[in-house]
This record gives sequence, structure tokens and C-alpha cells, in this order.
Amino acid sequence: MKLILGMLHRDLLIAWRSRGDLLVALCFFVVVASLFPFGIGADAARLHMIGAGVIWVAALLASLLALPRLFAQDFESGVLEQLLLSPEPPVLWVVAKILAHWLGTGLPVVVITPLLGLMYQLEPGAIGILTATLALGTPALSLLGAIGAALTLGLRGGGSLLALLVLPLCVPILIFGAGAVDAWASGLTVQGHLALLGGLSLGCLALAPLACVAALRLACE
Amino acid sequence: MPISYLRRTSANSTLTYKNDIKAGNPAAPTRRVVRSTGLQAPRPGAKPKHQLFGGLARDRRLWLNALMFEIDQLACLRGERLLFRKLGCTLAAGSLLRVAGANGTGKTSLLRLLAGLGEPAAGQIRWQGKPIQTQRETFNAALCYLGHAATLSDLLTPEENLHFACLSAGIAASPQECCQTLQEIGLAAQLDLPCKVLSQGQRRRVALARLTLAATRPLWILDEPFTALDQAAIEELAGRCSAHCAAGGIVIFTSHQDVSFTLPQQTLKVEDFAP
Repeated sequence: MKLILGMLHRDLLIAWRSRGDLLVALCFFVVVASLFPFGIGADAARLHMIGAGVIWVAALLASLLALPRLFAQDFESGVLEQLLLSPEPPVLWVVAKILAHWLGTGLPVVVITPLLGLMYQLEPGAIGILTATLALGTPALSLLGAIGAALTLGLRGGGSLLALLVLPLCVPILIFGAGAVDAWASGLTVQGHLALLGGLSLGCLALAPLACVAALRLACE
Repeated sequence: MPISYLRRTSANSTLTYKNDIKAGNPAAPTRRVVRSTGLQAPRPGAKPKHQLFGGLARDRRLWLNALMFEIDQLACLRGERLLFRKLGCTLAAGSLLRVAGANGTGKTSLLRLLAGLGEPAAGQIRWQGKPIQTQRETFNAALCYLGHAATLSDLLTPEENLHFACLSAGIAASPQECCQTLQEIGLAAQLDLPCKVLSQGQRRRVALARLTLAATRPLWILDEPFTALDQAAIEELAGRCSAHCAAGGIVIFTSHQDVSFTLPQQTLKVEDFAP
């Protein structure tokens, strides 16, 4: 438990001291989401229709941007080796690391989403649902991304390979995330979508850290 | 008490004193024994608690029982290349082993295998008679491994780095103790600076500060610990290693420099086991 809190504290401290990097990912999210109206025209009905999907895709891409840094610095500085030689189970600090990563990259995206929703002229209800799906879905993105980040650690051009590995895995999250808003717009209940998203996140929480640890051990060999 | 041991301790105090003056610290802390570092001379007149290995007084009940680290028929594959094979060695309490060899012969690979980072292509490494892979947590709790890299995060201060390193290694050390240790090794003026502005030698010192706090870990595996250090720091580290072995610990290290220890050292040439 001490190690989890210590890891969380350390990673958040590092994130805060290099907050420019996090800001870049957040700006990327805003810029990508803002580009679509320029590309397809400012027709309110059309924007309204694609709004949720676009914001979800932008969130997915923005989450990819920060992923390579998740383990890379610690890998290069040798901290990762030391962590693997810790008497504590490695799953603990891996979870703490991913949580810190989500707090630095996922949470700001969730917080800024309502503003983008306004830009796409979504109704307040739809904005609420969209924010809820992102809050439930982005932890799964971070967890799945962490597997990719651990697998591509130390590889040349790891970033693009990481995108290729992770993006297909994120498809179900995207479907249920963007689908919830559509379902709400057509007057259906969204509980199922939200429950599935939460379930996916929990499933990832149970399995992804184990996969991460195995991948990190391989990378450190 | 060996004379060289006394000399080392007094050199250490001078160093601390100098640094305190340099840092302009009016309330320079007097040397306080934070925990048994193995470098403090017993107070004159104090009765040694245990007479062990050359009569040095030590208080390490933890591993007074016999330590045994066995390397058995080890082979290491690096990609397609076989670095060494049938490498064997048995280390008992008090062993000081220098792993020698030219560049690229597999010293670091060997040390990483010994620390449990990676699986050997063949052979076995046993700690207290059991393979280390089957008792990772016990073994890790007995081990202090320092690799090539300084294991520091550039954005954190030395104190934050050291505290986290102790936390991750499962060594109980409060931030105050970390602070104290860093002051003792001559980094009093750099405590609040991010590690990226430190020099190579200072970074190395921060990494090595862990050894002071890890004195209760019996097995030290140190990869090139003497690089980038100045002469005083090299002597201090050599003294620390000697004291650790004298107290019944095991130290395995690599070095291209000739460093004199107060204890006899064994040498293992990796080339002898090249295929």
C-alpha cells in the first residue's frame, strides 16, 4: 500500500513538473475535435450527428499521444529494473503508475469534454452522457494502452507500433462510448452501454496489469 | 580492529565536516548514527556485541546465520551469441567477489542474471539453497542491486529520488533519514535541485547513497560502482563494501579500476568461461 501511494505521489509529481507534455496531449485533443467542423462544414444538424463520435475518436488519439512516455523514462533511467527487483508484487506499482497516467491524461480530457460538446451543439443531456462514457471508458484506454506501451518498450519506432497494437483493441470501447450518446438521442436507455463500458474498464483493470508486468519483465531482460 | 578500517572512518568524518563548512551550514549536524551502516567505528570503550569476522563489532542479527549464494553451471545467451557457459561459483558470508573481464565479455549480463533480471540459458542461481526464481520475494528482500544507470528521475530532487528508491526496494527510510544520508555523502547543497542539473559523479553518489540505507540487505550486486566517482568517494565506497563483507554480507561487483579493499577479494574472470 505504501508503495502504491509512493508511486502515485512520485508519478504525479513528475507529471506536474513536466506539465507542458500533458498540456500538449490535451491541446491535441481539442484541436483534433475542432478540426472536423472545418472539414465537413458548419451544418448544425450534421455536427450534432457526428459530435459524440468525433470527440471519442479525438480522446482515443490524444490518449495514444502520451502513452509512449508511460514507462519509457523509467526504463531508460533504470528505475524500472529496480521496481522489478522490489519485494512487493509488481502488479501494485503498475496499477499505481497507470492510475497516475490516467489522472494526468484521461481526467483532463473528461473535464474538458463538456466544452467541446457545446461546440458541437449537443444537448445538455447528451453532453452529460458523453462525459459519463468518457469517464468510464478512458481508464480502459489507459489500461489497454499500458500493455502496448510495455510491449513496445525500448523498440525503435515504438510509437507507431504502439498505435497499431492498441487502436484495434480500443474498438469496443469506442463503439459503446459513442453508441451511448446515439442511443440517448434516439430515446433508448443508456444503462446497458454505461454498464458495458464500466465492465470493460474493470475487466481491463483485472487483466491489463498482469500483462504489463509480463511485458515489462521481457523488456528488462 | 584493522588500522585501515579506522583510517577510513576518520576520512569519512573529515569529508562530512568539509562539506558542512562549504554549504555554510551553521548548525552542521554532528555525525549521528542513523542506522548500522557498517562504517561507524564503535565508540571507544564500548563492548562489541558480536565478535565476528575479524573481530568487528556488528549488530546484524538478521543474517548471522550462514548465507549461501551459489552460481551453478550458468550460461548466458545474448541474441545468437553465447557469452559464457558452465560458469560456477559459491559465495559464503563475507565474500567479496570481483567480476573481471574485458568490455563485452558479459559482466553486466552476468550481474543482471544474478540479480534475477532475466532467465539464464542454462544453469541455476541459488540463494540459501533454493533457486532464486522460486523465491523471488525473499530473494529481492535480501538483494541490493545497483546497475549501470543511476536510476534517478531527472525531474525529482536527490532526496525524492532516494526516498522513492528505498520505498520501491522495501527499505524503511523516512525522508529525514534520506536527507541525512545525502548530507553525509556530501550533497547538502544539492538537496533541493532537480537531478538533471547534477554532475555525473553527484548522480552516482545519489545512487550509491542507497547502500547506506540498504546495509541490512546481505547481498549487494554492484555494476561498475566506481565509475565517475572522485578518489575520496572511491575510497569511501571501497570501505563501505569491505565493512559490509566484514559484517558477514556478500558483495559482487565489477570494476575496471584497481581499488584496494581491506579484505581479500576473489576474482572471477568471465573470459575463462567463454565458449
